Amino acid sequence: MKDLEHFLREEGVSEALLEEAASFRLQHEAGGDDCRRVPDPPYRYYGKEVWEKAIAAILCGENLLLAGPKATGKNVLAENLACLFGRPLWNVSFHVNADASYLIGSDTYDGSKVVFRPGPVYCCAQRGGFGVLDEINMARNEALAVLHATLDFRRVIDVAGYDRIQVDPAARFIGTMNYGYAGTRDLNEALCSRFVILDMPLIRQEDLEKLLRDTFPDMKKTMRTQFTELFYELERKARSAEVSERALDLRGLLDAAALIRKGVLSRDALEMCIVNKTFDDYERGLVMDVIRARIPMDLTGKDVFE
Amino acid sequence: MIKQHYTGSSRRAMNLIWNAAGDYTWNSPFLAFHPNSDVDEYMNMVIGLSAKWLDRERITDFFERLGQGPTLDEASSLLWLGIENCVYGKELPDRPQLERLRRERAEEFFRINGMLSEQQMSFMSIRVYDQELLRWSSVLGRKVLSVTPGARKLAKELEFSPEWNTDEVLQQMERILKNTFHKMLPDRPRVREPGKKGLLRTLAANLSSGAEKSADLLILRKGSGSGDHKRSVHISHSFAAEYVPEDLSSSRAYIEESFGPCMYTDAEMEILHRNLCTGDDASCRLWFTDESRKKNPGKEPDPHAPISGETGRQSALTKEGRKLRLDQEKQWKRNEAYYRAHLFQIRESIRNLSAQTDTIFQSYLRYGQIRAKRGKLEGAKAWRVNVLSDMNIFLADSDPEDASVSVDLLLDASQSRMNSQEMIASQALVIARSFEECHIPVRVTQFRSLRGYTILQRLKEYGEKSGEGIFRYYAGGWNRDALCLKAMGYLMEEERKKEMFQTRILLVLTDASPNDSVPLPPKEGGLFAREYEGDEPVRDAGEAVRALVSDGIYAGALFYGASSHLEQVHQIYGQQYVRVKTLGQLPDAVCELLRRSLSQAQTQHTG
Repeated sequence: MKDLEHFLREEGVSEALLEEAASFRLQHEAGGDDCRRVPDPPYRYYGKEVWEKAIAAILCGENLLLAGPKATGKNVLAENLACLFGRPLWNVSFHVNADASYLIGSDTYDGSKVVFRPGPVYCCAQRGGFGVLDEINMARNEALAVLHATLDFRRVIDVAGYDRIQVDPAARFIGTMNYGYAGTRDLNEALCSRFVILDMPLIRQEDLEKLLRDTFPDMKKTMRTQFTELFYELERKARSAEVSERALDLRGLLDAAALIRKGVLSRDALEMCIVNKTFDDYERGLVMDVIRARIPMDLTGKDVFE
Repeated sequence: MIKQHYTGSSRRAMNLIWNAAGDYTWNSPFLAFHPNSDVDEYMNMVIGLSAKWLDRERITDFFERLGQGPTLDEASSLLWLGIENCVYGKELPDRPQLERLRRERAEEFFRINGMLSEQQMSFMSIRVYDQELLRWSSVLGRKVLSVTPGARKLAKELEFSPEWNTDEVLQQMERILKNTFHKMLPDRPRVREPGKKGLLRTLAANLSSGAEKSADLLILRKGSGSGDHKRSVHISHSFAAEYVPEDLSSSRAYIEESFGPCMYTDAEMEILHRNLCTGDDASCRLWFTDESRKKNPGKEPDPHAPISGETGRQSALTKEGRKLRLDQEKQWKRNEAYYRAHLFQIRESIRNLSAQTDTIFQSYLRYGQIRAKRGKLEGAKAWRVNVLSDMNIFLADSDPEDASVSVDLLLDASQSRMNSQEMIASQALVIARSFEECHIPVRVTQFRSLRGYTILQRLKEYGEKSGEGIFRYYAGGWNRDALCLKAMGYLMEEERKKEMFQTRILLVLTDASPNDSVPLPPKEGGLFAREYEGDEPVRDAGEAVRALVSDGIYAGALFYGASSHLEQVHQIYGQQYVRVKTLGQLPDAVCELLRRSLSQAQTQHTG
């Protein structure tokens, strides 16, 4: 966590905001089992402006909706925020069949009686955690209606037949959404109004270089630049709808670099982590053309790392 | 996002150019191919890099002014070698891989030329060959002994410096043009087709372009054909000749000639006519054909065959039939070409739609499961054991076949669709293939009305994986929705009796504007027949839909029409419709309708 604070200071994030975040952390210290749930993210989110907006929103008690295309670091930011504020994290992956019982909890039979088994939103609200509502727009709006009272000023969860609990003051919900994915839909107005919406930009070129430098400090500068350029060339191709977004995978790029360091040839590593994520032969050919125009296919760890 | 229609290799070449240029909006007039027609990766990158480092407009203008012809094509090939040297030097610091790509390109030159026959070599320009030889040999560090001093001098001139800007590059190009080819650059641009930059010479064959499809005139059309909005054509009765019902018998031969033989026997058709062609549709007839579905339709008359028949009427009909056949063939090819040009987007749509459909369908199957005393525990029902002594708190592991679903996609093939035929065919194919991938059988039928016949053409049968018959989609004629819906309902009911499918869904792509040349009969006590348009056909269609629903068929509409018809679609389909503003939204709309229909089915099953 100290590392993260140090990183944010280096990024130039407002000192006042960081101090307030620190006092929030002191005020709501995670204890017991919750400590295990406080994330220690392997990657940092890069982008001073987004950081400042997100911290300010959390400090104001708002729930955040991170909206943006693929590879903009929505989940990385959510994890980083939970780490900065020292709160346990619950991750709720949304899908078309997500319903109230999936979110809040459901009845179960414990052998002698029917009991309530709390769901992730219930746990998060009760224990003052950060709940990441991942791909929130994959769910049907009617399934999300159950969250309305939780997310607005009432901050309550009324479990029919059981209890009405007050949401812990430290609890925040962070939704993530991608407009472009298949199966996604627009959120309805009622739900949107319960979030402050942060439009997530694509990582900036200098930030991506920094990310690569921090993740692979021993990567040669020229190779770092080529990997960075490759990411943006794939991004342009995906944005122009010449290939799908599958090939635009920042995690895949980092994974490929890691594989090369382990001794896998650059061609194989890039195929495994980027090219093969597309399932159409023609599309693979187009992605491979972009890679071949940047990265030699026979690089080994020694060529890429010092 | 659809930009331009390219063939597979042209599109790959364009992608290489766009990637190097860093700009996907540039429509390059040049593409590079090897003499064996393979995409020349490196030279396409060079074309892209020229757009990145030099003023692309002025470079393009230069080549446009240069024009075409054997000598000028030769000049063009040489000048691109000059540009190659310039942009290579400019780009190299940013893209070290370029050095390797250039070396590979040089090796490719020697490899390909080693494989050419003497005859192929004889077609080459010696001047260009020498220059390429010198350039690629120098890249590989080889010495060339067999060229003239003049060629060496030209090679030196073609080493455009990486330091040069666009002005200096253009000046050098003009100088070479003047000194080597004794040509002056004309002031006015000559007409130049988009060219392909070749290894040794510009290869012929133009870039395939996605030209705007002109509106097809259909001789069967009786209306004015005036468009009421961008993608729709409205047939106006004021210009239309109404069809006289007495002509029905003579029309049969024409319908058979144009659309193929009927799938059912005369006796079966008689039953259908007796049951369906009643009331307002009493003057009409039905025709069911699956000729379009067959790869090689058996009795298909040759569209190029001479016109037969001597009498005026017979001769006119046959001529029209022949024209219609030709138009259908043309449209079939257009649909296929459109599909090929958008292959990648279509495959992606199929994958996306399959994923959505699979989720929806799995969800439906889950709800369709039966409670039992063993199986998967349903926690929410566990309390029933103690309170009600009901042990049925598990979901039985049922076979998905038990809850089988079939989907019928009904495509309005009336004239109003004529401006979107390729798009509709492709989207129908996306829907059909996506559903079939999820093991949901789909049948695709197009319908139109013509000369008193309502024709239902089967384009794809349940379970057919490829669905190539959908390319036969062709728009023209009128649409008598109510009769068509009644006919579909009748056939689907027949299939239900054979216990083919438990849940049947009918999705209709429509503009909710029924319109036919066969008029409605006079009102009771009235003297004059009424035109088949406006409120009454809408009411009839609405009744047909309600009859379908009461028979357990979940009918929904994909409404693709003018806002002025919104009230009509509501009257016909109630809440069961989704408006599609662009046909690209069709897959999502289909999912939404499928979800609604299955939810309606769940309610009925559980209720």
